[in-house]
Amino acid sequence: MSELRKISRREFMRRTGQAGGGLVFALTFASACQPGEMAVGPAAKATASVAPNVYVNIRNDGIVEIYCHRSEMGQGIRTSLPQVIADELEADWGKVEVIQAIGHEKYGDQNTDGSTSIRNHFDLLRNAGATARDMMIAAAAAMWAVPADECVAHEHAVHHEDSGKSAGYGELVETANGMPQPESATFKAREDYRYIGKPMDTIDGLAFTTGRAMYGTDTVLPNMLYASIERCPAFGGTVSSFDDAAARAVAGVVDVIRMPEPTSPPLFNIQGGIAVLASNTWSAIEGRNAVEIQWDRGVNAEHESIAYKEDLISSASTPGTTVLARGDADAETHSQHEAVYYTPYLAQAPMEPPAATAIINEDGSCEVWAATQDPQTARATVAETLGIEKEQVTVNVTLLGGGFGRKSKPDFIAEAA
Amino acid sequence: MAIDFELNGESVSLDVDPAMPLLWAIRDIAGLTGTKYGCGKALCGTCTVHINGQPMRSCALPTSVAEGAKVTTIEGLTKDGNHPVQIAWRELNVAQCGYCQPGQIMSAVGLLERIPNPTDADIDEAMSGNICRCGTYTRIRKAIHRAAGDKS
Repeated sequence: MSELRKISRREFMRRTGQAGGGLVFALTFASACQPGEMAVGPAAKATASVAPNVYVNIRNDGIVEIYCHRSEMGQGIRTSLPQVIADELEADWGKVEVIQAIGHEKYGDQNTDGSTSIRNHFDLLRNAGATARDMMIAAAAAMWAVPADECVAHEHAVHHEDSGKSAGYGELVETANGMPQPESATFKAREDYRYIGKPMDTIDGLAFTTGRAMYGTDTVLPNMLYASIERCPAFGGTVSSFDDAAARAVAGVVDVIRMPEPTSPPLFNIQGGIAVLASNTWSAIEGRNAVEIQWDRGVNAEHESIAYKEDLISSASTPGTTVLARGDADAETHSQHEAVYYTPYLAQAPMEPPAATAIINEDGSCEVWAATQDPQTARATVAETLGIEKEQVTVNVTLLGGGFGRKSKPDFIAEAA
Repeated sequence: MAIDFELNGESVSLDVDPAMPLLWAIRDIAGLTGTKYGCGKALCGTCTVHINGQPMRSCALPTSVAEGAKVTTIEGLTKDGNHPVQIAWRELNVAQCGYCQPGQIMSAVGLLERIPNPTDADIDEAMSGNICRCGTYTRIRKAIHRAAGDKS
């Protein structure tokens, strides 16, 4: 890694607005997602804020920041998740800013796989909004010295009917600061929903239609390198030898490295091969095509799908172990239908290939930007791969150009790191 | 060797291998990431840009083709995102994951410049090279009709 170019702290700060200098290394195709850039609404002009819980931060300029802790891959979660929180919070949709959460256990389950984000988290999200709403009510009651149960929250403000007083959420931030964070609250009645179950425009509509939406392929860090990896044609195979002379002669190629050998089981682990690092994607691809590699095709050397299909059909027609027996199917059925169903190997084929960008800072910490469905597992896997603590790894989640489960596996993110 | 062309209304001179596909010159050298990489073989359409007003697949065109030409990407379509096609796309919430949409929009704009009031058949023919893995095709067709002025 010593051949990678260093960048100055000043340049890095200038280009990214973040602290730290060091080594930049990008896997595949790269450019810049600062998490905040996916947010909507005006630029921050707040000087104070209060966070009733990890999903909500209310700023004194009246903007409610909602942290979306699930990954967006076309299912609309960056709209539907804030819809639930904003509804219970009595927030105005126009004053909501959605921020993509980093991978962190404080958010609970972030593995966005299996179509369960709303089904499994509905009450959690409602609670996040409702407790934040009650905190605003408590702050208003304290400010006006009236009982909290005489106050109601509506349209981004708390109102006290008897005195006719009203205070916007932004105005309540100072009083709310230091007050206890409520753990539970009463949910709204279904008929009072303003956003839940109502058709809403996608929060990222402008970004989607102007090319400003940032995916895993779009992170750009100063002086970063682009990498492309040639894989063994047989899954799990390894490199026996390679000649990188021609690859290194390709203009723009900076280095050719042998990736660590794949380990078994392959589930979350890096997959090995020869990586070509270059100053741009095209040079990395041209360099990769120029590497001559002899493979040890490994345990799957002879594996081929037609024979495997026959194995599966034969295995499925072999009598299995009886787990449960009830009645007598042969005696009680009037007619029998027999068929063999088979599905071939299918690639998930997201439009956006798996892509991640990583920087190793001088203090050994690592920050990644990745199109990941599962940022917490990505964080743990990157830490394990680098031999550092999880706390030293920050995983920023970009938009995903499709996921289909492929991007729930963090192999490509660990490879970038 | 430098290749000179007009990119989104501005003159640029990019020092790249003339064989480098225009897509990578736009993304990695000019730094405009709105145009996406999908297949690299001109099969999916997500890399579509306009060259002298014609929708082209930038992933399979050498940058040398752009010499002296006017190249427009999704970023250069409008300054404020208010081209009738972009507006229709938002009104009908066409995008899901959004990754293919810059290419879809560039193809749709090219179609409407050629045929201002396209039929469904015109749309299907012009847009058939743009793949959407989320399957937003029916909304894309509706949005093109809307951008053409048909409010149905």
